[in-house]
Amino acid sequence: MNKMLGNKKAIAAFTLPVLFVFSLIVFFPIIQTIQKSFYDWDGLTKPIFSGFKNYAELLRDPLFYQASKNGVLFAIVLVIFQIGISTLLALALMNPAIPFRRFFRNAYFIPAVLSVTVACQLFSSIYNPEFGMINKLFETFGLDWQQDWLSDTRCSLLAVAFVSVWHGMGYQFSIIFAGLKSVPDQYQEAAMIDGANRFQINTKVLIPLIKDTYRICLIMAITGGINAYSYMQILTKGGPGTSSHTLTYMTFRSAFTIGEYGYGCAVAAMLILQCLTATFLINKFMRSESITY
Amino acid sequence: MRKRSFLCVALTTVFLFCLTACSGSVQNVDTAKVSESAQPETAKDSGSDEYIVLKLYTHYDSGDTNKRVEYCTEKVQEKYPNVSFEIDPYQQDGGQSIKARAATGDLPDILFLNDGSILPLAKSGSILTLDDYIEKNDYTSGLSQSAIDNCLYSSDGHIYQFPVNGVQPYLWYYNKDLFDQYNVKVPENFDELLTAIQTFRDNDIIPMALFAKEPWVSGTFFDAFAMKEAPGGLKALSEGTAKASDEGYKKAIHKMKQAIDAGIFQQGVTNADFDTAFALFSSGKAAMFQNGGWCITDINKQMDDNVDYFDSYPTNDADYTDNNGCFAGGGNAEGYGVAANTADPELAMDVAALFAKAQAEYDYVKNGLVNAPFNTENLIPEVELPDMSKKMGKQLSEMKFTSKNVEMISNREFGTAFPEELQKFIVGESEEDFIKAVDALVEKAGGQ
Repeated sequence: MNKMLGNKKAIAAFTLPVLFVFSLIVFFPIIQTIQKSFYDWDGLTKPIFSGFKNYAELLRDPLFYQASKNGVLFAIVLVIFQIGISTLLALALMNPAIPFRRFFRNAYFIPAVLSVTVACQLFSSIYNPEFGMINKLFETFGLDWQQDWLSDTRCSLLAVAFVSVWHGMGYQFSIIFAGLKSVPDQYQEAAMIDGANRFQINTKVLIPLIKDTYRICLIMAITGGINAYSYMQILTKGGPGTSSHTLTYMTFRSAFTIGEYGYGCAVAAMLILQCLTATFLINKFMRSESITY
Repeated sequence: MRKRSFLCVALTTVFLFCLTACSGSVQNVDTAKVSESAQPETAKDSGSDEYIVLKLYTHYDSGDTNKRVEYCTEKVQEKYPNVSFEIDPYQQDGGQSIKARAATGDLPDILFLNDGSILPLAKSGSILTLDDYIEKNDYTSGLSQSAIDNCLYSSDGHIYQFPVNGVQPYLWYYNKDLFDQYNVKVPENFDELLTAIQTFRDNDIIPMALFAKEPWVSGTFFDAFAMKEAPGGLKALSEGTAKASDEGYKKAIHKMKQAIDAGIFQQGVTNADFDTAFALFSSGKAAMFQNGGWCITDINKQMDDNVDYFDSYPTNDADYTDNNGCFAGGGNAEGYGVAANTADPELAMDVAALFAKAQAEYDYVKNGLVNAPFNTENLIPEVELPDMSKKMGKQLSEMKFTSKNVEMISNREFGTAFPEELQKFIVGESEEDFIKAVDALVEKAGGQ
């Protein structure tokens, strides 16, 4: 193994092509996007340099603040529900007393296998105000609280966010479950010997030991929420009005619908900044010494 | 060591080979009827025996549109037997893919254009101006006056496409059976419309099924009210020559609010697509439906003679009928244009002109669509024209089109933001907030 890692030519031969491709399809477009954000450009004719005009306009645009707020809200829903429910499910499956654990482990991942379109079409039916499952359930239980889930400005974003919660929960569950499984049993046994109950073992032993795993899950959930796009494009087209716009949707709208590519690039640049800031803050506050068993 | 180096090089080669296999675009093109001995050469002089294949971007997604393309190809081949087409199916994406292709210099020779995408392509020099061709060939002598006035010229005064449609109103269809069943008078003014809405609601019938997920649909609904008070409709707002706080618009918006609060639409209206709304109407769950005149044939197939359309939107005051002839819709500069990078512009223009005329002919003869841009006196439709088509055919010349489809106006900022504001209004925003928001939008983007 050490000989292999010492073979710099082998390392270069295997990593350089991938790094090259990754730079070409990730870094280069990001740099181009940032560069084009300083131009007035309709995507077809020659771009005209405009300095910080796009950014100044963006900071005066109420839609930018609404989209940013929606992104943060989306991220909070993902963190609370996606990570929260995944944690509960993963901890439950750690309990050997639960029957059919393998079946449940596979079943929880099934939504993640579905395409976004399929998940959105499914929930579009569930959310239907006249015939949808949720409103019909409320009706069955005698509740008068039927909602127009996707056509109400107050709840359309949350409705869309919950589709993402359901759809992506499989990934978070897998990561958290793998993290929990990697904790050696002796820590739990030691805690049991000391008189800890199940709840205390989970909260005081297991969860703190997988802090690094949660860091990754948080980064995925928060950046996924901030730049959510596909769910609202399919379910609500950013509506009603602009109530379910996020920054990614705003980028799409500016560039491809209105034809202001420079402005769209400025929105994308702000989105990158927000994601990087979130990642930096999460890494800063959740970094800990790596645990070796 | 040698073995390891060899393995290293071999694996890298395999990896690079896999990368190259992933490259290259996947073209989703179909080939229309091509002569047996046709060779896929680029377009050259049409007088030669050489077979010419022109790339054509057109609707090619269903049984009828495919038959239409075959029909048009045959018509083109009557003059140019050596010309055939490589079909590139039209994408319903607001012109985004065609703009991307223009940016990369990859436009098809002949392409279907709509009003919203013509000007950006023209400005970048991606499509040819057809002014000289039109004049040299006296093209307009075959067009109806309404098509010349409404469907030929783009907003910059030039011609970039050969039209396939004439003027087309957006209509309010109604289910005659439901009106009879619930003893509702077919409304002729706003008060009667409110009465009809209330009666249908009391009987659990949706008064109007609307597919407001599409931006243009809510814009058309707005125009149906606005044009009665201010004929310029949303077009005048986009041009900055009117404001939502003007008296006529305020009155229209107030009426819209009354209709919305009375429950004119189905629940989830801003999330409903065409299929959902049409299903509600054709199954008898909704009494009215809004769509273009092109829908007459489809509606007739589903509902026979149980449907008609209002001669005028019932959105005016009873004692004010001055603008009853105003209809949303009208004409759009929509049809077949020619890419600037085509090898033989003269040939491509001639072929595009023939194709456009053949398409309009097909729509009239085979489908009974009466809004052809050409004079149709010498054509005999092969289908029994529905009564609504005959009615529309007679009324078209009297209809006034003074506004425009919100997706076709050249002011894209207004055309994008206005339907968003309308959606908020439809789902419950107050009149005052809506008027304020639209005025701010006109201030910011009007006249662009």
